[in-house]
Amino acid sequence: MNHLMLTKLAWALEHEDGLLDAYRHDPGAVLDRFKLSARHRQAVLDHDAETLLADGLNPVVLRNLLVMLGVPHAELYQRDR
Amino acid sequence: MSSVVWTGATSHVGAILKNPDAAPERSGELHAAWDRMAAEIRGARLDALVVVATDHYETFRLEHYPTFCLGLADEYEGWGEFGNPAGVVRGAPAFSAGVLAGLMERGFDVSRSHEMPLDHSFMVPLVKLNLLDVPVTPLFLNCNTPPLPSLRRCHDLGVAVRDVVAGFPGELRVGVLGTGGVSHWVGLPRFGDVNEEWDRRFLALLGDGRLEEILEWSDDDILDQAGNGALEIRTWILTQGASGGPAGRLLGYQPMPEWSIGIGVMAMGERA
Repeated sequence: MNHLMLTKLAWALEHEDGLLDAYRHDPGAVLDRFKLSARHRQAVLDHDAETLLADGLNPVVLRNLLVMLGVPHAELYQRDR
Repeated sequence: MSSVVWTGATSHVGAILKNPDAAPERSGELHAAWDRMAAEIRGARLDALVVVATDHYETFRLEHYPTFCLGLADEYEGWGEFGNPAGVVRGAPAFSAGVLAGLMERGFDVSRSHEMPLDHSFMVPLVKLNLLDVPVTPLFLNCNTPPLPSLRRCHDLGVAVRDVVAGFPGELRVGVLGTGGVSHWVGLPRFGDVNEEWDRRFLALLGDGRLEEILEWSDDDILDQAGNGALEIRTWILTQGASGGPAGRLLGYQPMPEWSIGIGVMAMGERA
């Protein structure tokens, strides 16, 4: 279920009017709409690509999600960013 | 008699359009290759073009994820995701419906969509090759969400597409364009790498008509050596199946780390 929800989150941030701005204002309130585990909710908040990849999220979805959240594709796995 | 009169494949990364002048000493050769491909397609005077490509979680997501899906719409909108091309692509709905029926008769249970927005895997080659006025039948192929269709199944589907087209009444002239690959890593720690040796081996095998060797490759090996983006060679293999010929003619190849990918441009069905 979690991968489905992460996929829904990535698409909604990209395509749902106003959602990205809402996330920037109050990420917790946006994430409340999606049934994420505590681990994955924190990984999204932390832009933690390693955890999301290790837990099996499709790398294409992972890229879409974190790029929408402002992380450049080339910097997804840079720990010092 | 209707027939597939042109086949070929190339890469679809958005950087082709977004950063076209990167590394001009290499990208220049690629732009020239695309110009030659565009001229070949234009010269083929196509009535319809089957574009074989994938999707990057824009149109198909985990709510509904087909393995193969044919578009049956009057027209298709481009997503324009992440700065890639938007716009409207003209459809070929009657032709698409005939292809769907013919594939089902031949044992390929292909899904269909009457509203199938297209992401960059369709839009970038269509724009780059100046094909927005050609009636298009998009054929989606799952290249990134395992389990994937086998390479051999993709080839066999291409053979079936050619057979179906030959059964159309009249004298339809049909093209098939595959898009994707070659080596690249998407959303993975190796993003930005290019495996030139692997790319050249794949293109040489296709060019020499040694497709059987490629069909024996495992997805694990492709993933390890050339990245998850290289799993998109399924689109090339399907197109090779539709070409009716044993070989391809390489129009251009360059490693393009500036675009985070190896880029190939190949016409198929003809010996060099």
